[in-house]
Amino acid sequence: MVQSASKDAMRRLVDGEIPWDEAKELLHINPKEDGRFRTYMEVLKEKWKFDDELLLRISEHLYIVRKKEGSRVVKCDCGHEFGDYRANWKLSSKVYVRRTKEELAEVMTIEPRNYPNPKLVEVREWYCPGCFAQIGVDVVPRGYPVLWEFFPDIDTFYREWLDVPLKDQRPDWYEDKTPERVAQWAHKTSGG
Amino acid sequence: MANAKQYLVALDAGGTMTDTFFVDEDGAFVLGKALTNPDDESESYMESVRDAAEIFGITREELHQGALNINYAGTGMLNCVLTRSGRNVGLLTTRGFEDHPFLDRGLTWLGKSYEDTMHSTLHEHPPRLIKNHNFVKGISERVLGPSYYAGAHYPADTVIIPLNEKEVRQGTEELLDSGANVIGILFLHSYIVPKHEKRAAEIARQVVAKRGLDVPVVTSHEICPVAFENARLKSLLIQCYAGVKATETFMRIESGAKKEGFSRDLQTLLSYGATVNIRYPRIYESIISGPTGGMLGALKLMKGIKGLDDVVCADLGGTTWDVGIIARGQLPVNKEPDFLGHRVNLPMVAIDSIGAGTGQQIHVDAHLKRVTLGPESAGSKVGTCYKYSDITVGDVDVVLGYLNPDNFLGGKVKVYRDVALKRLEEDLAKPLGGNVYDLSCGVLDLLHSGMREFIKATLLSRGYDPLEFTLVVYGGGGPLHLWGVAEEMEFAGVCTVPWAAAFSAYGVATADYFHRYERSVLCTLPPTLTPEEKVAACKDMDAAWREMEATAYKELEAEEYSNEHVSFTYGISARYLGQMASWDSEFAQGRFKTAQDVDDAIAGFEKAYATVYPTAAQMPEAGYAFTGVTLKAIVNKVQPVIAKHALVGPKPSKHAHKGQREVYHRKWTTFDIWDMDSLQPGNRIDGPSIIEHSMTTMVIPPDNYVEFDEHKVMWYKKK
Amino acid sequence: MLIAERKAKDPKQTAKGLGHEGMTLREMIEKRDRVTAETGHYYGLTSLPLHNDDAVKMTRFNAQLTTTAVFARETAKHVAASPVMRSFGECLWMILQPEGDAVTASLGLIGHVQTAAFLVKSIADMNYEGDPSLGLHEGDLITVNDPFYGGMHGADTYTLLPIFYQGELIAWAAAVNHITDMGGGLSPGGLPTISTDVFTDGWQFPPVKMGQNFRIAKWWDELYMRQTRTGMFNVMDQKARVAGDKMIHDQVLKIVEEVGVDYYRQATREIIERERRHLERVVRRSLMPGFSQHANFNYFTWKGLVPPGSPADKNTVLHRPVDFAISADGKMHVDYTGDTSEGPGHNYHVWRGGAYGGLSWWWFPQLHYGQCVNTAPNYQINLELRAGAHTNPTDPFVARSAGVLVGGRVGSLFKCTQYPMLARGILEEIGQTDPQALMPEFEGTLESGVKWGFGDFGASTGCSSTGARPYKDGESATTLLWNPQSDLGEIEEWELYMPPVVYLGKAKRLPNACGHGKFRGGNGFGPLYMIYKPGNLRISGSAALTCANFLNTTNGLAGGYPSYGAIVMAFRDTNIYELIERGEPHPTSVPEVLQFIKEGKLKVGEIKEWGGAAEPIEMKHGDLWGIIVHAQGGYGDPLERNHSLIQSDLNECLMTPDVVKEVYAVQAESVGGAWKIDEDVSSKLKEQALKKRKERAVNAEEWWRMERAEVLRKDFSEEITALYADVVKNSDSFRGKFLKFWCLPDDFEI
Repeated sequence: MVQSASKDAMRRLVDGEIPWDEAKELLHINPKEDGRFRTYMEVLKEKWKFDDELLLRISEHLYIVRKKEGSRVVKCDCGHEFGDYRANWKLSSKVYVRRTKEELAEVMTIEPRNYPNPKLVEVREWYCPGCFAQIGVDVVPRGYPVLWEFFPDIDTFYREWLDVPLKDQRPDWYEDKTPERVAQWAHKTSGG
Repeated sequence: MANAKQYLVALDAGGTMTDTFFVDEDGAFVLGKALTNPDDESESYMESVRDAAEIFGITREELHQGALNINYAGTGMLNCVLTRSGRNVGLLTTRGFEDHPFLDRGLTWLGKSYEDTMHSTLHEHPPRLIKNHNFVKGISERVLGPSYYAGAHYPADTVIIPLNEKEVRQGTEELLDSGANVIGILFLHSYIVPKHEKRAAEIARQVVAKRGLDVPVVTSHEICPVAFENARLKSLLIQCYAGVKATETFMRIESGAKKEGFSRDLQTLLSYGATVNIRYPRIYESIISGPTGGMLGALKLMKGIKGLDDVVCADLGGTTWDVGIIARGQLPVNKEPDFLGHRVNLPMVAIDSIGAGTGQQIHVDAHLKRVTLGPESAGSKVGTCYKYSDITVGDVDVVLGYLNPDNFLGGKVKVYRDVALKRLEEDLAKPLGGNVYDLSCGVLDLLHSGMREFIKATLLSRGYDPLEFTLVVYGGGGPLHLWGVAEEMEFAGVCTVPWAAAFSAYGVATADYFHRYERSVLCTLPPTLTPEEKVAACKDMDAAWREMEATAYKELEAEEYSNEHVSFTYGISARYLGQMASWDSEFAQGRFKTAQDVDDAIAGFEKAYATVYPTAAQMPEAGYAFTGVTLKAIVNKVQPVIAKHALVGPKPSKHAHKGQREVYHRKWTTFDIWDMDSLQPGNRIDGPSIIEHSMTTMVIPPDNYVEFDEHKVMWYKKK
Repeated sequence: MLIAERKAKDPKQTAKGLGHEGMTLREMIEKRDRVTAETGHYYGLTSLPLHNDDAVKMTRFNAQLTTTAVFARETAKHVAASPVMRSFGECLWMILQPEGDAVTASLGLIGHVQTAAFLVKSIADMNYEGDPSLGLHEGDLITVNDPFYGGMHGADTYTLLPIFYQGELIAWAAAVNHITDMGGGLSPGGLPTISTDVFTDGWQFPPVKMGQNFRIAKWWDELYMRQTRTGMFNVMDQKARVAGDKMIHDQVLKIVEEVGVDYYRQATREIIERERRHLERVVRRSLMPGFSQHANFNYFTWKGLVPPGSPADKNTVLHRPVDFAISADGKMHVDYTGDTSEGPGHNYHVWRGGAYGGLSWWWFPQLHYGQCVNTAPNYQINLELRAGAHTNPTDPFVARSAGVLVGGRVGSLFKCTQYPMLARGILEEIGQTDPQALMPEFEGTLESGVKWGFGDFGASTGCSSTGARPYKDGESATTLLWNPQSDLGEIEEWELYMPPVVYLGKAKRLPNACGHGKFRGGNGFGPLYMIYKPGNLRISGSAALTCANFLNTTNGLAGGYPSYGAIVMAFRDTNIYELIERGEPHPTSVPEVLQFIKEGKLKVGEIKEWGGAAEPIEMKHGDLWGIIVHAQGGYGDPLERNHSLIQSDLNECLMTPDVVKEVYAVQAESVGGAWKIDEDVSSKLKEQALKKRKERAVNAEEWWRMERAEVLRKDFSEEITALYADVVKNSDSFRGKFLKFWCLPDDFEI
């Protein structure tokens, strides 16, 4: 029986083209093999078109990369950069908000097209400013703080779980910078 | 024709091997084997029969000319569904339920292990028996079904939506247009109110006839008039998808046999142990019959010949450990078995299986220090000692010395002990830390305890005590691991037979010739009823039995058995009023004349129930409900003789002794090696010994011995 | 009286305890908690000697226990009367430590392996053992269903049977099943749709000794017959629980005889610690240190539905956020402190035991499926609760009869773990399956005057569709979160118990009913009932775990759209029987009814609609009542969907061409009954769709300013204003989050 994902299997999995029978072999691995992350990153690096260093993949199109000058940023596979990964990338995206029944019914397509309830929630669609791929959808009440899908503790992961510490590790790599981001905006506002 | 000798021939065509059991009037028998050819079973049939004939010293033609009857239990339907090569099924069903063939009642975990069932990302729908929704037509029709509140609401046959005959006609036309070559019809509640199905079938058949096509139209109430539309649908679809094709295969085998002089009709075995003519109308009932053969063999041998009524039948193959319980001389029947991910409505001899076998792969988790077996199996690749990539139980058997590497399948297969030893050291001993031989013994302990626990659980869950049961073990691996099962578990007796390796085929030969009929009914008996009311309440059941008797006479007549050859036995399903499940019991009378008859039927149910459940679970104050009636219509048929020999005394003849071998049986021990075929009735073989046969190996540890009785049944005992 | 108070009043224990070395039950529990906390290992087991000495023997022992539980369930469930238990398997048998931790369990309602420990603690806190008026002996049967004592919701009724070996309490056999009706005051069923407080919830009770010597006391059956609408079902369910417990009791004693009591004691603890380690290892292999968050809401419209003057006479939005973190040591931290505060207006209050129970719907399918499911995850997951929140209320009288919603936010937990999984490359396991239950509950009197009641698990609750995965579409009717053995049941079985209710359709996949995406979620389906000469009949739809008014728990992933929570619709005073008389086709699902109405084929007097739970309403001959069962979310951007998949969706009637055009920017033409994609037109449509996005979208900063202005103006609907007013005031964690994000002054209030 399959004990680990081969590189070919991993490629097919990443491309979303893996046949179900092969997927089942991977599903049967319990717990998942130690080397999975390594194989995964090899496959991702082969596909990666840019010269900055891949640290993590965090969504279908989004990656955390280390740039030459040392910063770690969120980057779309189209090449667009969202800035420091320590601030929620949604705040560096384009956003379209659906609020009316009509706007919602365009994409919530079951009859009767009355849901979700516009009186209670809005649908926030997040796009990549580079390629305008839809990279996130939230359904929350108006005024709800933006949800952060995942803020990884990269240094701890590489150091303590993979046992390959990153050369540029620093305590503040796992500090939420989102408040700073909005604080600047607020400052501009009050500044005029 | 040279000699007038007459023979019985029975075959068990399994996934890999087709076994033949061949016996003459005096009970002299031989076994034949051939690889099953799924593409043309008639070939592997001929091969296997030839093998047996040769061993017996006659030609295949002589065999066919002398054969009194030939019973072929095949896997045609299994393969047909596995390879998805069935008919192109069209379905007419109640409007609103068109998706049922594709959603499988949500039972996407059937046949999965505890772990995979938990792991819901692995759940999946089985391969479809109907292409897509173009082959399903919804028909406007609806009747009211029976009610728990019977009498307090409208009766079951109340028509709520009349059958729309126009839609039936049009639907049939469309199905034929899109290429359906068999049409099934299922309407809700038809098991109890078949009028709409009957009428729809008439119309559909007219349409087919008008086009001059040969497209069978099959209705669910004819195939299995039993409650639960999803399970009934699966029965219908399997009959449509694979049944027709299976009959064709049987026909091909029959004509082959007849070419060589066989003068009768070929017979086959149904999943609940009945032998029938291959022209039987509900042939889908034969979907799984091989394992059933083993149970029948055990029944005939243990009950019929040895007079034992309580028997545990256990079959150890390469992959599974199949356990069936014969209690009070009765075969257990499961009414909703699972078949390749489909839950069908079909009585099947109840056999519970777990993954356990000589081919099972050994997994070692160094981190948790955990050893587990299976589910993967090397099958015919045995293990690393032969052609398999990972270590298996087979490797352990070879390395410890239980199996003779040079006598594998009578020496036909060469296995390599040194390779297995090396791999066991790397993959088992190293990660766990310890001596490879002791750990290998540990693996066998694990296998054996799993097999034991499964027998226990199977018995206990039915309320039986192992001490009252005789264990009979068979299958290729049975005699090899019998010692491990018997080691820490007490039975009334433990035995196997020299023909263990083809025991299922033997069982097929012993199968009775009968048809089984079943009807769902709902007769409620609240505690308040007067004797007269009781009898009245049961009138539907009487009617159902009479109706089934009539059908039985008709069907058996068609198979050339006139009424006087037919005898009946009756059964009921009953429950406490309000319960969901029902329990089966025999009912000798088969008719309700007096209140006493009703009370007898109830007493039968109470007895069956009390064997399983504690007093706290009983509830006579609720009253009772009869939910089903069954009928067995039996005709006599020739049975294979198991020859009875004179006992020659305990001491085996010299030439039976083949030598000695070092076996690591928890420590290195010298075992005597014996030749199975040279041992005689009455012989006693003391452990440490190993008895070898071309198809199987029997292990007898130091503290045990084996006695051959007058039927050559091998009784395994403690010194 | 609260357990806390009762404890204080207890006389000092002097009598020798029932446990090992004469410890009392309470002392054993305290010891377990102490050493587990000190060492971080269950019962202080820093090593697993029995596993190391003889791995094989241990595997064997473990298998014996699991087999025992599995067979107890397979056998005992057949005693039951209610289809909910028998054919549906809404039941579980467990073997518990004396301290209450489940060592192993059968299949079934797995979640309860986490609640059991809390129930036994309640039994200890009530001092069953020391209080002569109670006592704890061989053959005692103890039954409890009030979530206040540890369970999930009132319908889940537990029966525990202590197992003694030579006078020592070595284990418990425990059974739980979901009963059909719990006797709610305002609405029927196992999960009453409406109950304003514990007094209208229905019949709930603390651990009660309702039998001795393995026999059930007659008065107990009487209570079920008198206090609930489905007495006979409930009595038989009780018998089934006891039957299974007794089987476990006998078998466990056999096993102890075999292995010795010392081995049993140590080995069972090792099994729990081993499984905790296994979960820790899974976390280290499949997840990643870091932080995730999601939020989940539910909407209750009880205004005008409860007795006038009741404080519950209002519409309420429940806030149920999840803050999820994984620390370097592999521990998982789940934070519910942002929850809406306790109070009237819903019956989903739940305590710590139930909250832990709900977590299982997420961890067992996602992380800890295996050979042995037990309480171990409780020791690997820290659950932060706020005293006074509706999860962990301080008022013992709050309504809790549908506390099953504890499972309702596992959809959020799935999301919180699936992004870390994506980062680790465990893509095969990624796939939302969001929980939903929308249970039709019936209460009626037939024309003949016979009363009846029922809950139809088969209609929509038995099986969910699965979510999209990064490599494949979701599928319909494929799995069920809280019971690994999903089952839609048989209509020919359910209709036995709901005489005047006729299924016109059941599991028919509904077109366009899915979360769209590069891969789409599994389509929803749903039953439609037609009422036939009912006498008096009330139907309600209860226990909406997720709620169509908010789609948030059925969210998609990575840019995929969400799908639906269940939608319920009722159509009264229809002319459907006229249609039938005229021999015309009838609708078979809710969307079809709407279509028939639109086309003027069907006349309807009144239409009622609920985006979640539906209160009981009267139904008459010819009325229709139906559910759109929730579907699942999509994965990725719909514009990236493979056209061949779109084509097969059209041909399987899972999607309609107008929706394909609107959502996927794909043009399809029907050619000879089969659908073909027009690639040229489609590529233009895709350009237009991207252009539309560019035009409509704004920078996040610009959006932030606009929405912040609304926050400052408190420009929200009444319900949302109430929600913020509560949690911004009472939940420190949410207040911090809210003020920080919108840069609001410290004294900000809503």
